[in-house]
Amino acid sequence: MSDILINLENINKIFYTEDVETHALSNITLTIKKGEYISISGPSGCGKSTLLSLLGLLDTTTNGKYMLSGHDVSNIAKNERARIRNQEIGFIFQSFNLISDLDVEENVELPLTYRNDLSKAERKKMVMDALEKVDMAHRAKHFPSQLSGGQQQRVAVARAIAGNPSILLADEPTGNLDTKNAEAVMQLLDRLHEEGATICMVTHDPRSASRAERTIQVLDGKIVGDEKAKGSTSSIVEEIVAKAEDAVTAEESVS
Amino acid sequence: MMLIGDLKYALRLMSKKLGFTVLTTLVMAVGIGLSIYLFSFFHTMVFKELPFEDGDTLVQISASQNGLKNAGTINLHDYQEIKQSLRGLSEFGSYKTESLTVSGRDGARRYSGVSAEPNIFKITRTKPVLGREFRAEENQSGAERVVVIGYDVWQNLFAGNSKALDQIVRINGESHRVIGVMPQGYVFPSNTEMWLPLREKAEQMSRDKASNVYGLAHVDGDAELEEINRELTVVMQRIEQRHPKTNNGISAYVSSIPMATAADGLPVIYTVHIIAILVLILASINVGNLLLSRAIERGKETAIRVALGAPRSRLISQMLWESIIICCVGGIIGLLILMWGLDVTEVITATFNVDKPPFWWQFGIDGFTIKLFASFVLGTILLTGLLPAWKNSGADFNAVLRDGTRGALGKKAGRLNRFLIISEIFVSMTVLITATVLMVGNFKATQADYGADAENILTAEVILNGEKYSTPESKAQFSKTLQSRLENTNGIGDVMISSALPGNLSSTPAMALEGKEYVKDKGYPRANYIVVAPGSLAKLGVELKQGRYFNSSDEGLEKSSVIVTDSFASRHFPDSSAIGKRIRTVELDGDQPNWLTIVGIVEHTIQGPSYQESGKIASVFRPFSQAPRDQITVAMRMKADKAQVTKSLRQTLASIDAELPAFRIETYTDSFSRHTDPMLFITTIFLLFGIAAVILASTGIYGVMSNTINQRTQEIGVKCALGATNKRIINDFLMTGVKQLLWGGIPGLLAGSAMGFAMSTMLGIGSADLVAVVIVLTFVISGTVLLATYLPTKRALEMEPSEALRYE
Repeated sequence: MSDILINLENINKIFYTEDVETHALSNITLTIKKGEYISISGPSGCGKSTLLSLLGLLDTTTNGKYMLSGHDVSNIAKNERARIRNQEIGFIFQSFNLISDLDVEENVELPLTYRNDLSKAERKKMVMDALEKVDMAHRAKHFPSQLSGGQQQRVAVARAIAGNPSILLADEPTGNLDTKNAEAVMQLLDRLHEEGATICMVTHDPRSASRAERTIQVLDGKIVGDEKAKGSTSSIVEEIVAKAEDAVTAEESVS
Repeated sequence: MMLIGDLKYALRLMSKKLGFTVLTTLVMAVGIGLSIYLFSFFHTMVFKELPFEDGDTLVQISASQNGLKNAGTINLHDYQEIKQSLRGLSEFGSYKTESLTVSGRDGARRYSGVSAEPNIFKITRTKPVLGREFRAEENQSGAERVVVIGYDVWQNLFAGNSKALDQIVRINGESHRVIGVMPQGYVFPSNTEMWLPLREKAEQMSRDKASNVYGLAHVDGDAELEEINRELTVVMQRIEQRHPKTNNGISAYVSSIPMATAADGLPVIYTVHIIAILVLILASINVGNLLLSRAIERGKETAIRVALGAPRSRLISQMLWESIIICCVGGIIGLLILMWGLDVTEVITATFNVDKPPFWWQFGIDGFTIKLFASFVLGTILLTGLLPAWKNSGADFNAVLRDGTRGALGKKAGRLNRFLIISEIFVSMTVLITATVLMVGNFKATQADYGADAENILTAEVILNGEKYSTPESKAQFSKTLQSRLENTNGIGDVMISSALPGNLSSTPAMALEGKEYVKDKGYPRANYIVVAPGSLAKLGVELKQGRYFNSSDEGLEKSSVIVTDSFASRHFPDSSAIGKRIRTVELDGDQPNWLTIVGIVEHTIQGPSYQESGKIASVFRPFSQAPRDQITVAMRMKADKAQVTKSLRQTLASIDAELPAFRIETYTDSFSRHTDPMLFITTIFLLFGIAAVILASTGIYGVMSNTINQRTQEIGVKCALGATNKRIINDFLMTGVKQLLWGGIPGLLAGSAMGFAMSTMLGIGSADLVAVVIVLTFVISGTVLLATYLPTKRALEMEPSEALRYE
């Protein structure tokens, strides 16, 4: 079975206003495999957030092809996009975006209430499991205004993972946090990745970017760099494989 | 200097968003103008002090009948007893209205007059401009007949000559010497043109011979009207026990003169005041919400000011300027519209009476209006400006200044918005239901069937006073002659003669039914007691239901026949036909009971305005020749134009008696209009209110809900990001809208229905009408709320989720 989760081919995104055409993304081609931990970085206005929006089906491409889990989702209807977002994608925003009128438990449950196939008991279990994972179960009945920024972001992470999505999309997840809370959230993401989550994170913080095993650099709407981070698991495996191949080649030449 | 700077800045901001500024100013103008108009209107008609020294303590003692305060007169004997028994009042006086026929070389003319006790002018602290007031000795029966004339009469009859004093004027066939002239504009108690001494003393005449009068007095310094009225009720109960035949159900009340005729309408007036306040609140909520959304839009600007060190008080005062400007400018525009409205009102209300309107009906901007205007403007400034200013100046500006810290709608902001929406719905529902009930009730009153065919009929009144018509025979003969001569005149068809045509008020003496027992002379029913010339009922189109109309066999003083309305028959003879049954008047019988046999039953006729209780009273008709009256109404079917018929009438009257003028000459339909025109005018006012309320309510609800949903655009983006479909989001918001509709709508429905029910009872609207009004308006408001929820949500959903997430 293919382990490619996302495949973008020649994606373009153009914003049209009255006088101006803005090419936010040009000819983006990108593949994301299951279990990868990717960071997307670049200067302000380079198009990284736009790329994340397209990945998350929050926006539509101007042209190009987008395959998600083997399905072409380039031009699907709005309701279908909503369904896929609900079931396949988990979002973590810079500004947390919790609903202030709902308590923690209700906020985490919110995406699950948009599904028709879950009973109340099932939803509750999924919610509590997610809250346990982020160590916020004890604050289930509190409201967002009663939590610190770091705690709100952990709840937002719980909301994102509650439905077991295929991929987590994080847009500057630590942008509004102090160092300590930022580190806590990043450790949480690391743990999720170790447990098998596929994560794609937009950040311009080099420390956060270095946590990912693959870094994609975006500049002026184009991908200008796509490197495996040194020391990442995949890079170590690839190094071992490369060395083994070199060794085989050398042996053959001797004999 | 700083204040001027803030003002200039506020003006600049407002001119940048001119549409918003104009809209809010107009909303304020409408709210303030309409509200003050209603207050001013009723203040002038009912609550204003009379324009005399001590006018605020001047009161009238009027009769009520079966609890109905219909500004009736009381027997002179009863007045005397009240004067002796009642505490808290002083300077008692009394008067009765008179229709005076003044005859001279140029013919006869009718004037509005009053016969009064000599202190009538002292009571109003007004002296004649020429001559003197009455003396006590002139108030005796047998004394020289004197008259004090009004200023306009002085100008008309004597060209304003000072030699008018001691001139002789022939009034009701008797010579009267002019002794005084009152100042210009003085028409006390109500459009009076001449004043005569009463010439009656209770102690010198029997009760049944004494006149019916109104009492006048001044309230003593610390006396309370409620206490005085309680004592007065006790006095009247005592009199009723002693004289049950004449005073059954009769009581009395003390009130200001303007209030005397409006006493039973006070609940309606107070309800209208409540509606006026609610309309103002509705306008204020609308403007307040618009200003609040502006304040939120300017949140970042305010945050920067805070960062630069602006104290909270300065922030509040800066934000208040917009509200001050809008409310002041809107208020001034409202005041100008009000001025125009009151001018128009004065012209229209002047047509409500055949004679001049009451002298206190002077509509215009006065001290009361100015004070009310100032307090309304101040109130609206506080209501619309202080809340947004306070809220916005205390917000967490660090959060606002930090980029990306925007979240979904804050909890407090959400609560405030919910409160605004629920208040808007509550007030709208209450105002709309009550205003619509008032409008429907008033309109229905104008459509009533009075029981007669009024088309193409000219009516006139004639009063048979003087020695010539002192006997019943002479009155009966006069009416016969008049009818016969008129019917033989070119241009005139059928002629009907009656003491009160359908639509006109009539006396309502107590009646007794044969075979029914009245213990201690109590329980006599009352009915309109009307005399008609034979054939008049048929010619007027009053439909015969059973039996027969009057004919020549009913002619003569010795005859005793009567026709009753079907309302009388069904009320008093429910189980059998009324034909052949006998009834009699209790008070007017004289020494011997005079039983009258019912020979016919006709349809119910409304005597007086349909919307008053008098309209529901049953009627009893007698042939004119059996019980002739002094005051008769002549109705002529016109075969020529009105001017020609009027001329023929005057000539015919002059040919019978040169000293008898006809007055109140108008078409029958015009006389109905005088009942309905005031109601139509009020209906129009309520219609305007209703339209204003509908516009304010729908735009207000839409504005508040749209604003709320706008502020939740980001939340919509979040929900989309989490996978909610459009349908799901719309449903969620609609459910929220429905909840707010219930929270605001149910109390509003209850409050509006309660007020509407109270009004419907008074205006004679059935429960079916009230229920229909409530159902229709519930649909209107519900539809508005749901539309106001659906449309902005749909608009927000047209954005891509990524756009909605970034929405500020």
